[in-house]
Amino acid sequence: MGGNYSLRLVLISMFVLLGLSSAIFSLTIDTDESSEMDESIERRINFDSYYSTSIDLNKPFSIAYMSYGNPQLNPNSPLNEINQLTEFNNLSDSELAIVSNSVLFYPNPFSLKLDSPQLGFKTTKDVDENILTLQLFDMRGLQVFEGTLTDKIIGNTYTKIPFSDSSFNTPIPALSSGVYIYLVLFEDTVLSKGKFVIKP
Amino acid sequence: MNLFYRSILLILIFQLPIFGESFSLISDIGSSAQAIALGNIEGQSRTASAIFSNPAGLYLIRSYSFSLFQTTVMNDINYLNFALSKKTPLGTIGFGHYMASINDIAHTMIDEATQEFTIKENFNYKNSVTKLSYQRSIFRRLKLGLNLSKYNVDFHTLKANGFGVDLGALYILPFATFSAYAQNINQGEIIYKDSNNPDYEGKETLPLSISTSMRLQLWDFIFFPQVKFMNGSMLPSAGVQYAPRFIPYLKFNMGYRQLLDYANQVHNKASVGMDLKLLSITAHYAYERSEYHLQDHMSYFSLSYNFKLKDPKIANRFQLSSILLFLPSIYLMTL
Repeated sequence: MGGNYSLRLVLISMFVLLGLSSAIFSLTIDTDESSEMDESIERRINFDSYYSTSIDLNKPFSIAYMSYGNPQLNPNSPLNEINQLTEFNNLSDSELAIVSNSVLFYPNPFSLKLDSPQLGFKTTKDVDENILTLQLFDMRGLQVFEGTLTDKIIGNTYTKIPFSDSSFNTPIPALSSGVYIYLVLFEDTVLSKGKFVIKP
Repeated sequence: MNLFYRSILLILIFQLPIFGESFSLISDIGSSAQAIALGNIEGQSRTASAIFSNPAGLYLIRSYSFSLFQTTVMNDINYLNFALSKKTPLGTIGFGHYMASINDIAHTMIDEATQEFTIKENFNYKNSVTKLSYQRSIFRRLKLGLNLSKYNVDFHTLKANGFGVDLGALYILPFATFSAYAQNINQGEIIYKDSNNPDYEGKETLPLSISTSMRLQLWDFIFFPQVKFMNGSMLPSAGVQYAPRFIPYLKFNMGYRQLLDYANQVHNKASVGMDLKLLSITAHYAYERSEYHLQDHMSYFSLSYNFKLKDPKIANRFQLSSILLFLPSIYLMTL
C-alpha cells in the first residue's frame, strides 16, 4: 500500500516536472518566434548559420544577435566569425551597419565627473537625427537609459559624440560606478554592443 | 537587555541615511534562487545563504549548512556566491563570498593616424563582498545576527575596498515570523585607488538599506510581504510559496518586487521558481523576464545543503577544523 502511494507520488512529480520544463521551453521558443519582424528583416537573419559552417556574408552580423542561435551562448558558433569581421564591403546600399571596431567609448574606464567620455563609430550610410538609439543596462540587466541621438550622422565618416545630455533626447541619469552594457539600435535592430566601466 | 544590545539599538535608531554617491551592491540581485523567486525577500532564508540576507536566519541551522548560487546576466556578467555556516555552543558562525565578474572589456585609445577610437587591450572587472557572520538567540523568540563585510572592486589599474556592518533580527511567533535587517549601518566608504595615477582617489558611500518582512503560513501557502527602504525609496515586495502536502519534496514560488537600478530608478519585476528537495540537498530555480534586448529572460540556480556529522570521530575532527572554516574568509578579508 505504502509502496504504491510512493510510486504514485513519484509518477505525479515526474509529470509535473516534465510539464513545467516543456512549458518553460515552449515559452522561450514562442517568444522568439512570435516577435513580429517584417519580411525585409526576416530575409537578413542568419537562421541556418548556427547549425552549418557555410555563412552568407551578404547578411550583416548585427542581425545574428536576433537569431535564436545566439553566438553569445555558444563560443563555437560560426556566427562568431562574422562578429569578428571588421569590414563589410558587400552590404547592399539599403542596409545600415556600423563599420570597423563597432561603437566604442573613449576613454574606458571613465569618470563622469573627471572625464569627458565620447562614443565613436562609422556608419555605412547617412542616418537622420532621432533615429539611432543608445540603450544602457546595469550589471543586473536593468535598463538605466534609453536615448536617441539628436544629431544627424554622416555616412562613411568617423563620428564622435559626447556622452552628455546634449547629445540625446533624454538626460543621462547619475550613474554609480560599475560595468554597463550598451546597445546601439537602428529601428529595433541591434547594430552594435559593448561594455564600459564607470569609476567614481 | 545588556549594554551591547542597547548600543546596537541606539546606533540603529540614530543612524541618519546619507544620500550621496552610493556604491551599488552586487548582492542586491538576490542571495539565492529561492529568495529571488519569492520577490527577493530578505530575512526568510534558513540556510547558509542567510548570511547575505539576514544573518539572524542562521538560527535554524542544526549543525552545518552550505549554499551555492550562480547566474549569468546578459550572457556577460557572472554572479556566484557560496556560504558555509556552523552551529557552535556560543552561537552560529558563518562566512560567505559573493562575486560578480565580467571579462573582455575594451580599454580604448585614439589611433594617432586616423584619430579614430581603437581597442588597446582588454581588461576584466571583478566586484566581490566577503561576509563574516555571527548569530545568537537572545530570548527563545528573538534571534539576532551580525555581519562584518569587506567589499573589493578590481578592474584595469584600479582597486577599491571598504567595510560594512549589517545587523538582523528575527522575532518568532507561533503563526508568523517577523524579520528586520539593516545593511551597512556604518555607511562606510569605498575608496578607489589607481596604480597608474597616484593623485586619483574616488569615493562612494555604502548605502544603508533597511528591510522588514514577515512569514505568514496559511494552509499549504506561505506569504512573504516585505518593505525595503534604500536610497530614499520605499520598495515593496511580496512572495508566495506553495508547498503541496501530497508532494513533500517540491515547493512552488512566485514573487513580485520593486528594485533600484544603478541610477536609482525603480523597476518592477515578477518571478517564478521552484524548490526540489532530495535528501538533505535542496535545488532552487528562479525565472524572470529580462529588460535586455538580446536575452529575454534570466535564470537563477542555487543549492543548499544542511548536514550533520554522525560519526563522533569525524565530528570531533571537524570541531577542531571549525577554526579552519574562517581561514579562507580571513584571507579574503585581507585582500
